[in-house]
Amino acid sequence: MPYADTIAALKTKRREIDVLRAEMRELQGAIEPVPVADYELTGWDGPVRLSQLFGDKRDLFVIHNMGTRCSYCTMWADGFNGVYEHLADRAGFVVSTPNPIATQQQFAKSRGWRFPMVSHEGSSFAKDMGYWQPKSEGRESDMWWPGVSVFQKDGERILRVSDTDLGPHDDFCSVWHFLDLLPEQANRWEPKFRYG
Amino acid sequence: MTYADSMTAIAAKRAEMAALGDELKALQAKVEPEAVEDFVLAGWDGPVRLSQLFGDKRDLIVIHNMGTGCPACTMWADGFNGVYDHLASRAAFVVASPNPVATQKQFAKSRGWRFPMVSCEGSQFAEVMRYRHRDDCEEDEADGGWNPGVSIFRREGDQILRVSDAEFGDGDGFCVVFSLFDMLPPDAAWRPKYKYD
Repeated sequence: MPYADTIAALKTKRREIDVLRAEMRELQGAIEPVPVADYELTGWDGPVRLSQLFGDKRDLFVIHNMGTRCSYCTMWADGFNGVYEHLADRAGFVVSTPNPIATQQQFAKSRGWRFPMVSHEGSSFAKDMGYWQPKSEGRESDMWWPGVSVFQKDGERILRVSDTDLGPHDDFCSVWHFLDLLPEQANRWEPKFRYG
Repeated sequence: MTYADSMTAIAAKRAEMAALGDELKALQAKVEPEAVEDFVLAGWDGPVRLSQLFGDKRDLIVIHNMGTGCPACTMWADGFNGVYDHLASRAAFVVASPNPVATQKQFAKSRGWRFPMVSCEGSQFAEVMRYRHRDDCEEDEADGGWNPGVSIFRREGDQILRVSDAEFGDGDGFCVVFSLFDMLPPDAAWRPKYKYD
């Protein structure tokens, strides 16, 4: 297809995606939030409750990150790091991983991460939120699952207002969207912790 | 609607969007690239040709950034900065803005940007790439008629081909902020700023 026609067709297709996105926002607006427990997690300065992670904000994003062994989760977090101040203007923003705090601190420093982190090691938080998958057919062992949960403070209560899992080509990491425009597209490219 | 039902409905919407994303990829795969000239731009160490921006890569991603006057372009660039090493492993990645190089250097430093930048000041590059529309804009208009987006180039022997381009806007896949904010109760008034209190 000639270049201009392709670009026009892509533009039309992206507008269709925008329409779906607007419909998704309407669904999100009509949700009945569910109360969740005020979980105790491990913060960098000691135990911390979910309710404390809001800071002075009404809303809170918690990223369910699989930890230092997942180069994918790490790339997503690198992206969040870039726009952290923008996110933090609107809501609390915290990345939660199963790593012990010492490991987390070291890894965050090595990547220059600026967002607050908590460890859910020893807590049922990630599992209760649906971001832990038990051993099953085709899955050799229990595993954490990547995602994002959104919470809202409602007086003394904490409500979960949304959640979604994370994965390649989602709207929570820009890299795949760029790769999709290359001639060979992603073509088995995988994120690494470091590139040679 | 209960939380679980809403989540199922939202997941279905996301699946529909993903299916359209696959259609985007299929359309992109059929593109006939357009040949572009080897523009001269202003690099941080002097004039630089588009062909030189590829480095040792076959593909080049050029961001059409509107410059220091645009807080939204700045937020998009902050995001690119976060994943710069990942992008640069696959293709050369350069941000072009209309600011003079000195302004660009100062601004990049203030934001901690690590990606290479070029100035398209005095070049026809943005206009030919259709990311500047002088005709529908007065010369003294605040935005100068620049449009934000991305162009993808491929080096093919001595030729430079453009294989794709896309405009940026709220909710696109190139900035994660609005995607995350779509999960919050709506606040249409929120706009990106350079700094927050």
